[in-house]
Amino acid sequence: MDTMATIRLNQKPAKTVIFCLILLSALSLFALMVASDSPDEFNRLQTPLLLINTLSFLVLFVLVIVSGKKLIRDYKKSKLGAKLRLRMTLAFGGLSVVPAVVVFFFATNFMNKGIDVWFDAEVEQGLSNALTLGRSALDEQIQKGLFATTNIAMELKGAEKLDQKLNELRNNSLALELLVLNNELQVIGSSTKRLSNINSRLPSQAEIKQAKTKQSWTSLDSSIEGEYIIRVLVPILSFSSNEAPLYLQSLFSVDPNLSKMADSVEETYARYGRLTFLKIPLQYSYIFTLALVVLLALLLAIFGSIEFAERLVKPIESLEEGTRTLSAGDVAVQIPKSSDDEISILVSSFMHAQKEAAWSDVARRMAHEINNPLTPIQLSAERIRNRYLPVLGKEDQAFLANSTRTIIHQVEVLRDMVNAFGEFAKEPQLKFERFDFNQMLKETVNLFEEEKKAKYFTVLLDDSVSFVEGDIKRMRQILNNIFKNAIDATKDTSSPQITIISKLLTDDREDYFELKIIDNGHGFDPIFLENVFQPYVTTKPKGTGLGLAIVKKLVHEHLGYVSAENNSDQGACLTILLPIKQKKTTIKYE
Amino acid sequence: MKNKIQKLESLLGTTLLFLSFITTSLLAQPATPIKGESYLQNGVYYSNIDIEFLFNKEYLEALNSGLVFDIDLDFLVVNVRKRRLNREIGKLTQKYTLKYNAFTQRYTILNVNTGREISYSNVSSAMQYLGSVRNLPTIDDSLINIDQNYQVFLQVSTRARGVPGWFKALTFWRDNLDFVTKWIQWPLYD
Repeated sequence: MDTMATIRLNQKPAKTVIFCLILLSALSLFALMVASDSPDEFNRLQTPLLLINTLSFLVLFVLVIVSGKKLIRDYKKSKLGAKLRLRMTLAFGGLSVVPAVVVFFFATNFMNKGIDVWFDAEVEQGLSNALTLGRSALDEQIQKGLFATTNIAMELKGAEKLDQKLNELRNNSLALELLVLNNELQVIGSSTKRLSNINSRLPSQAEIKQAKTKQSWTSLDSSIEGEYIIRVLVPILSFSSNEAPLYLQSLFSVDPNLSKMADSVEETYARYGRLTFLKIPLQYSYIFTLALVVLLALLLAIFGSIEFAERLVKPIESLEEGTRTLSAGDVAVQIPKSSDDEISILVSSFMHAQKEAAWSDVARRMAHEINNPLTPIQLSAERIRNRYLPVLGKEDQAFLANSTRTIIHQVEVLRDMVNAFGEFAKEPQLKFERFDFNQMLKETVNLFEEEKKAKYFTVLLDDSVSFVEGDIKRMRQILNNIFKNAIDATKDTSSPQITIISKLLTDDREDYFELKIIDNGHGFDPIFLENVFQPYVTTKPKGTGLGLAIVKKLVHEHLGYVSAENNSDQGACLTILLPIKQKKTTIKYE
Repeated sequence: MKNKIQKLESLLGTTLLFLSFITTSLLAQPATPIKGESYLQNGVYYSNIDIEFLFNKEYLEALNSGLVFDIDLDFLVVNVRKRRLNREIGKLTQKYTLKYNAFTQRYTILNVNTGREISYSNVSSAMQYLGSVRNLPTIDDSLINIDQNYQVFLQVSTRARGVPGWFKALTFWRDNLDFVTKWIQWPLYD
């Protein structure tokens, strides 16, 4: 019992945490979707969002495993409701799993195909061709640069004032820079026109070697701004083999428009290259995200189906427990109300009917058991009085007369009680007739006032509620019981007042009449207010606790409804709602 | 018994294979700082550093595909004190970018600190250039107390610029072309 209590106590915070995680997860998935439009935001949010989703996934996974295990354990133990719960879970879970898996595979397939389309081989070939075409366009300029550099190198042969000669030659050509170097990469002479952002650099040994063996070396350099420079290196031929070999490096700028286009082609090619490199991981990452989303949805659906099945079956389990307790003889058993759905109402009605049946059974047995010895007790008391009263002395005569009178009176009280039990236990055999209800009400009021010799009642009747259908005897019994109750409740009040109001109520389907009995008595004890219609619930010292229980039974037999409440100031109010027409065949009554 | 031995052998083989895979993966570092030394010249301490850059197949594929690599050399000059916490007195980051230009078919290195650019026709020359840092001004002599002990720390990091953060997060199980070496250290002076 304690463990159960602990579990129940812990369930609420656990459910709150789960709900928060699910909400967070849904929000994070939404944020992930929205943030994908802004790469910076996406980069910033991605990792925490993925962590949240992974955490939700893990929590849900553990919950589903625990709940599933419990369900299977209950099923193996043949616990009532477990079979239904398992079936419902499998049905609901299956209904969500199949479409989710299908959607996942289709989405993955479409996504992969979509990504493959981006990396079409023809696109790649086209970009490669554009690159080659661009290079070819620059080749002409490179060749021009090479031709000019070779001519300059020939003119430098034997020049004495090298720097002056270089300046002269550079001014007469399109070169940005002319540099004469020896084999050890030492600069012998130079002439530079600083117009470009390109940094001047010395050739490497490998480049010198190339220039030596192939008589020339050319390259195309680029700057970070996307500007291109042609670099040419040629050997300067000497007149004798004894002279140390010299080399001329020249720099030429590329037409800015051509540079711009070349840079654009290069950037596009590089971007495509980057995407190609990231293709496979990109596919994996999309599949991973999709799988996470689908798994979250699936786990949520499975967990939801387990919870849903449990909630649905819970009233049935309560019913089973209730009927078992009832069978064991505890007619006061209460079923906790889990929800307001139809199944709970059905279970509640079923239990109510069972309890009424049990109470009727108790009443019938009591009536039988008590009624049997009553007549012999009464007869014996009368015989004793008749035989011994004449032969006794005066004092003893009075004692005997008193004692036997008390016995006979109490037997009558007991017989009344037995009759009440009998009434309650009586099987409903109603005879519906059409009669003037207002007339019956007035007659009953008169009878009570005549008997009590006091003016209790204020009657406010709706004339439209004249003829109604019902069992006359039972209806009269209803009125007797409630009026008697009201009078009893006001017996300690200085000026007792009972107001009776009848009213016609109509809706689309049926007409009803409402009867309100309002008294200014002590009202119902708030502790018993909920159970005033339960049998054997009474606060009266000599009450049977059957008066209102019989009223409720009779009203229900007439397909009506009865309720009780305390007035805000003083006393209580009893409301009875009955249909004007009964659904069974009726006998006309004049 | 024979079966058991066979099973053990197979388990041992698998373990060794796994270990060798792990070791290979760990050893295949794109950058390894080898050594560093510092010297004083005209009131400034300069450093010469040797770093071994060795890009594996995946790194080279990424570079040749158009991904730009940011290479950072983080220097710290720390006053190492006895019985007290060490004090950082200088911090310097030397930044490079390395990219392949498909148009010129050359590897270009940009020294972000100076704006100087240099290109090579092959990757090994580019790596060699990056790996040999000479005469790098590290700290001014006026900040140094000759009676105390100073150490220069160096850490090298390589990052592929074209790989988005979200993508790195989603592919956490694989090499994301981001790498940070361990710190190496040497005395500022002997």
